[in-house]
Amino acid sequence: MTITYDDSLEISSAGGVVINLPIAGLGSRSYAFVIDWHIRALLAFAWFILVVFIFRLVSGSVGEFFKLDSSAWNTIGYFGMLPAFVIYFLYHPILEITMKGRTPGKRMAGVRIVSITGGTPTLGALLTRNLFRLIDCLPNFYLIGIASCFLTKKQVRIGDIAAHTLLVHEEKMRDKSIQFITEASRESVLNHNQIEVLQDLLDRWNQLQRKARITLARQLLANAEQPLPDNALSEGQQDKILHASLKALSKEAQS
Amino acid sequence: MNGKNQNSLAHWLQSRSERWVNLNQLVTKTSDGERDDPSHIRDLLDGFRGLAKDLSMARQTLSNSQLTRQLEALFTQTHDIIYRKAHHPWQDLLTIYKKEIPALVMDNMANVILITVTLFILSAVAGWTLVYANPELASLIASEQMINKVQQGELWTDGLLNIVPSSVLSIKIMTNNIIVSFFAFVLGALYGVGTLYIISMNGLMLGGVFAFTSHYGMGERLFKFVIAHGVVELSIICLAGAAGVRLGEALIRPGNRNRGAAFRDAVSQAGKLMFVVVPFLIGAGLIEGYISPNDDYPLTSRVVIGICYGILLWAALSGKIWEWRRYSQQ
Repeated sequence: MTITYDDSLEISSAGGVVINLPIAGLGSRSYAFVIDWHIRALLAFAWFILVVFIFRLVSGSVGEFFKLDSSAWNTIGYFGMLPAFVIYFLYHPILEITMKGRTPGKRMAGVRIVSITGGTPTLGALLTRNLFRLIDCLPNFYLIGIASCFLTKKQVRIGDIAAHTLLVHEEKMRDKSIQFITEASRESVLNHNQIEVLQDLLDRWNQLQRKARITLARQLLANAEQPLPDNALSEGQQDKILHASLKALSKEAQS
Repeated sequence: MNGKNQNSLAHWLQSRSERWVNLNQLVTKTSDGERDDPSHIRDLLDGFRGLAKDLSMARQTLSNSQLTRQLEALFTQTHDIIYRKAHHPWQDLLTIYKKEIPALVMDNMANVILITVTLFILSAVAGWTLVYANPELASLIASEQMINKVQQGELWTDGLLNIVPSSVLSIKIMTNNIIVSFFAFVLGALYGVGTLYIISMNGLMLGGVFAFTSHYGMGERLFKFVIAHGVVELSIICLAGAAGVRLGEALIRPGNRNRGAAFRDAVSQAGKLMFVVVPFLIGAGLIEGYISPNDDYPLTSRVVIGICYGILLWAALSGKIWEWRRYSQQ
């Protein structure tokens, strides 16, 4: 197996097939981190509040929620604080190990940690990567980590250098998408490229800005020689008509 | 693409798509842990071989298309499952404790550990000498509240359990100690400077605080508080520091490898010591939360606890603990 870099990790598999995994930049990293930070902070806080609430419910003093004496803190220390610390500090290592280099935030950002050979990182590598967060987050707001991403060719933080890992963009095969392309390619007014664009556009309809999706939909329908809504109509009306036309075209392609 | 080609493509897609979908489902199942069924593995290998051919075809006829990208994603996932190394976490962990850590401590890193411990002791002596001669320097290493208490004839640890319960105290202490030890290790990535700073500061503080309390005739009381947990706690900080010094050494003197490779090797080697750091600091935190601030424990029992826990640490580091187990089974 040979590996080369540019802005992607190129892996030559044993069978000679070459695969390029695009390296995730600082934007995708930060996006994933912010989502994960919110999840772990909320989970830890929710757990702590739940334990205090249950304790109050059992002791019959819900009114004085945070007025806790020494013995109460003893119980809440073990059942509330310790698990909350564990959730907050071990969120990344535990999830990255169980989800094979992913976390909910990384999944949403479409990125994944891989070893330098492109595979799932080992347990030791994931633990090391997380241990070095301590230095990456110094002096504040991950400044060392950010600087390291800017300065390294592979856009990695010190944790990745230590653990020999990379963050790459991940694409997943969707059964529905394959089935749609296959069905649509049988007898359709659209060629293969247009079918892919149609499917992609419908998938991302709600994520696109209204103006952008109207332009794209118009171009696609014009190429496919389909009727277009009047330009004089309001943007909202055009948007609805175009969406319905694309859906109809998609159904027709699959019928 | 002309009509004939379009038809051939449609025909090809028709003939292959079911296999891709089946392979994708198989990959998902295998990734979720269903790896024991031999028929799954056989199907996975067959599917992978077919997919490699299909991917070449897709790249020729539909380069840069969504379909090609998705087949590439499926190929990468399948490749990862097939070529992933066998994974035995418990066995690996046992090997780390039984063989790798004793080899590191007794052989590979013995010199680095010795240097770190020496630095810590020298810093403690320097801290003691400086503060004992100039007690006003205590303000550099202790808070105003701590200084005031000592000047009033009390230790800041007196009546600690009346303010914070043992459980909360233990959790706070163990979290803090684990973070300090981890810092001592990872700051070695700054060419060892960060680690040396942490080790020498901890030594200075320890020596300085003892000198300051001794100046007010409370050195013995502080010793009584520290001895049960301190033996292991301070040893572990030195051990984590030694691991950090190893990282710095790899960056300064990489030998015949490049700096990156030398650094990575040092991380994977010295990082194994963290498997000793965490469990022993949890124990030390429990002792510091439950025993050290509790006046019911006399000095003798504290010394016994401290020494026994220290011996346990030494046995774990040298690998003797496993030999004792073997002797007891004979």
